[in-house]
Amino acid sequence: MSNERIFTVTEINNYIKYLMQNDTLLSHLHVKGEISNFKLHTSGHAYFTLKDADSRIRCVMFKGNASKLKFIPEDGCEVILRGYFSIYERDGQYQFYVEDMIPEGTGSLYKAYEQLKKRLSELGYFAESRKRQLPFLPKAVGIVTSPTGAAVRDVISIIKRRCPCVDIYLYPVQVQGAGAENEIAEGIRYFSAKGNVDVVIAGRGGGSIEELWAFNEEVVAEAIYRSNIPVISAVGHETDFTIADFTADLRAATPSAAAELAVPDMQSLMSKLNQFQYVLNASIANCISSRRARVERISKDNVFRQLERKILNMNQTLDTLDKYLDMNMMNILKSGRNQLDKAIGKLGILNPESALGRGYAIVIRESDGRLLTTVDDINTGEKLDIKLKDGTARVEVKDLCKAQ
Amino acid sequence: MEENFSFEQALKRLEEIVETLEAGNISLEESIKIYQEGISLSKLCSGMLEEAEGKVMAIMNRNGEHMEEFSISQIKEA
Repeated sequence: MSNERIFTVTEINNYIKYLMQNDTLLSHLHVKGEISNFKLHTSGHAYFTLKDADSRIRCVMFKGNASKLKFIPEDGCEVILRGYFSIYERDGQYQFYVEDMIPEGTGSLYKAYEQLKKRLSELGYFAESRKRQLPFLPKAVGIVTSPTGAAVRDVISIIKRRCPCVDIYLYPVQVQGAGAENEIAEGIRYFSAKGNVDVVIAGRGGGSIEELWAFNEEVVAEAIYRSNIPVISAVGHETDFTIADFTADLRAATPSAAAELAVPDMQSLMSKLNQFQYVLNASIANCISSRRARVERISKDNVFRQLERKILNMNQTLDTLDKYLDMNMMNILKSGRNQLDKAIGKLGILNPESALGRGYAIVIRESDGRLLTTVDDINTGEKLDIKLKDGTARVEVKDLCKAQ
Repeated sequence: MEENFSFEQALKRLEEIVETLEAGNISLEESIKIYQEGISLSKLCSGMLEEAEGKVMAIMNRNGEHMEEFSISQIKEA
């Protein structure tokens, strides 16, 4: 004993800890068993025992890992734990330090999921290049989901609220339980074949991994992949992606989100349109008024002002000329009048009738009414009419005597 | 699908027109031409949005030939 080294308790616990932590098996392994004495401390750390029929292991899961669990472990739960073994020096107690915990049974599901995901990815199911563009304003939306529960109500009421003109077709299916995956696939195929909608929403509200499982089945992925119509996946869970999510043309985190992605908000489109109209009107008004201002500016330019003045001057000249013209016209008319008067006066003097008043007479042969001016034209015995100022005297020619 | 496409196209063209007109560096004739186009596009778009309220139908049998009106008031809690 004297030759051998004597260790302290702490030293030996540290040594065992060192050994465990450097052991290839103990430093990273999966252990399955049943949970008992599960306690979630206020610190957030979880303490429990993992047991089987004959044996037990003390386990601890620190807050950082425990908070990531998607289910609350209970006593009696069959689980698979991932983690490492180490020792708690104070008590000299070895423990399993748990990093992740999955319910037994889902272990095989996870494996199947990973395998399917890998295979479909290789087949090009998830390729970005084959994702189809969603219609901007669908005329009709197809929904493949359960006809009961909040998901379908949210989807319908959100679509109706955002875009009342859209038609909605619901293909009611089981979203969990035996055969759910076939019903979901059938619904997607129905819309694809019928072509009566422009976009399909396939999904369900949130649930446990088992409840969501139908959306991890190949038959659903294939229906989405082969669909003629774009598909939005809407499985209510934030963190995990289902196979349907990877395959869909667009993935929505919840059914409500899918509804918002499927149709535009009519209100905002309308106000956008109104704004466009306003800008159109304002722009055209501005366009016209700026040109009008330009016209006004140009018209005030010197060249135009001179031209304007010239025109005004010419107008004035025109007015003056006009006035002269008027005056000349008046003069012409006046002198014409005078001449006319004079002519009329002359005419009065020349009128033979007016000579009668001064003692002259007009001699007319009675037989042919001819005016006589010479005795050569008269025979004795002829009857003549002698026209005087106020009447006619009929006479008979007795004798003719021609002046010498 | 054709109609949806044209809605999006109409909206896009309208956006272009608004931008062009706002920039204001085109002739008056061209401005008036595209202004009129813009106004009719805007009316076309709002007409599409103001279409009659869409229906909500549930497909009642597997081949989808039988449909019924579906109201959210008839939805049972899961």
